[in-house]
Amino acid sequence: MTAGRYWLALALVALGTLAFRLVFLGTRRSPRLPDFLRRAMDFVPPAVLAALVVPQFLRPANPDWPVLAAGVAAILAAFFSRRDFLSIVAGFLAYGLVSSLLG
Amino acid sequence: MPWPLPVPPPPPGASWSSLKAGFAAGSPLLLGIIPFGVVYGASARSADLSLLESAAMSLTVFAGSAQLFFVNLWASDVAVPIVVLACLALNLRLLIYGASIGLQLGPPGSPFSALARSYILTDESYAVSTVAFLRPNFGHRKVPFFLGSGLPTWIGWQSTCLMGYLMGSVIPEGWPIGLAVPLVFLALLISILRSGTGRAGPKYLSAGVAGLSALALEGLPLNLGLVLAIAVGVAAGLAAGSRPPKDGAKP
Repeated sequence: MTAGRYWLALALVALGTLAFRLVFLGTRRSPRLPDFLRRAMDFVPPAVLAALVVPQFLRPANPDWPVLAAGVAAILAAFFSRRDFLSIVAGFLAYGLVSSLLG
Repeated sequence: MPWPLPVPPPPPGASWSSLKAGFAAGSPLLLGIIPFGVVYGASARSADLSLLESAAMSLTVFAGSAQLFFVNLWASDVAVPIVVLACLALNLRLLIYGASIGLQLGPPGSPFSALARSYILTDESYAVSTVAFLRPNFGHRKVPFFLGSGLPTWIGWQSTCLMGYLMGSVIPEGWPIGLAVPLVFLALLISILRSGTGRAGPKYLSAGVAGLSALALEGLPLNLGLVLAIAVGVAAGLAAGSRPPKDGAKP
């Protein structure tokens, strides 16, 4: 019985998630959006990335200094290089440095 | 600004190299996926799911935050409709990603293509591909590039979910390798803000407003703060960027 409940819940989540993905990606014709929504799409990438990233690094109530330092280092690396991997390296170096300084 | 962006015709037979280019662009995220997959696998096991049940969720849902939420609710015996609604609310953002990247990819040529590109859509493939497409010298086919950009995440997710299930939380405390994902997203954000397409001001405004809204709305349940923050950021960019050019006002 519990197993049946699990498969039912999983099927609903999987189908719903696939539906979200398919709505705009799977339609045969290009989705016909009103003009202002098409222009809005220009701002989706910066808005998505900022909304995903900012709360991870800035925690005003409870600042995590090594994580903040990692973020600053990653930004600097991104300014000097287009290789995303270097941002990871710079971020981890800064993280390690600041956490060892803080003991 | 012209829309869609002007696309140079892709060279013939470039699908394979475009797939590989996408794979390379997506591979820095592999490192950051590891701890999340391991945590998911370990949580699935402690929620008394069988290996088959756990792997079936990774294969069919393929969305980390929703899967983690699912197994946590399942462990505390929450009713099925609530589990389903909560997980779907977490995945609502995929709708926005699909609308945004769908315009870039164009209509699918076959049901298989429709399914493949939908299945591979995640935070990671969306972020990597949408930023790459905006680069003025992007010279690959967009659909194979997009599919390739999601493959490292897929491989990393499926394998580390299994690992976590079989071996438990093997990542030592204090190893912040999960930080790799937001670090890459940060690099992508900088790249998109500096890319040449469109006026810079509205893009910065959109990112700033979205970021601060996400911070302010973080307390909202089920990622709804994220969805709202994206909407507010886009609206800010639109408001600042949609002033019609004054044709007669040239000096």
